[in-house]
Amino acid sequence: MLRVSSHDLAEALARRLDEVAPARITVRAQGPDVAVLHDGQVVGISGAPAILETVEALREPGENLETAVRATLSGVQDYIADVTTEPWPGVGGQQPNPDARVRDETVSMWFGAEDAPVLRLPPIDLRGAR
Amino acid sequence: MRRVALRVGTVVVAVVLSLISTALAAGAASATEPCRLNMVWAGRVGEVNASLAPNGFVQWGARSYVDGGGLWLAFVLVGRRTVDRKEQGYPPHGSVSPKDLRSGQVLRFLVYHVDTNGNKSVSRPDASCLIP
Repeated sequence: MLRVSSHDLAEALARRLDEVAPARITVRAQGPDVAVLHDGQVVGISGAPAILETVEALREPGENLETAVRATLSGVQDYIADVTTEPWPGVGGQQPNPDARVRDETVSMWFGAEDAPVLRLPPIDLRGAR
Repeated sequence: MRRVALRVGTVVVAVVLSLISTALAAGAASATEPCRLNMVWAGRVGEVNASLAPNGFVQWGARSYVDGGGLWLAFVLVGRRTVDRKEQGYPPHGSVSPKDLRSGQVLRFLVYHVDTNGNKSVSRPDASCLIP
């Protein structure tokens, strides 16, 4: 049984994204949300982690966790690209699509092709680690 | 500050009511057009647009014809399943992965906007398409 709250997921994703965000961009958890800030001003907020608390999450917890992660990464990616006017992550070209996979007790996530990602974030261990 | 809180509160109530009505109507897929390229649901003060790309992703966005500032709340649902939600101060856009699309279910966009003058608007209730 996968158990992770929207708050925990927001915190885990924000920390990982903040470490790789471009200069002048910060990514912070705000309760169950992930906020993107530019020079300290909020640009946008992804509420996708709250997908975990929908009724459907009880039925398909793994799929919903993947959806929540993908949507959060996509939202943060869009906010960064909007404010910097550059595709992110990577340099030039199109924006790589975010994706996520839940296997056993670990969430893997990346941008681009799974076998050759433009950016891979550290996995989240669902057994209590953040 | 109190005024902003009241506006946000009003929008949240509207969101909850709309989600309830959407959930009740989620089974009514038969009247919905199939998702395709270049769909637009235009209203009096703005629109929602979406496009099912050949790679299977759905790109979507919303815009105001009058004032793009203020507060925007956006929800994307596949059937009764929420697949994205956003809150921001400019017109929202995003994409839905094919992994989150379910053939035969309805893809629905709910967008709420309170502009810089406090005018509220909501996306058309038929801003949806049937996932092929």
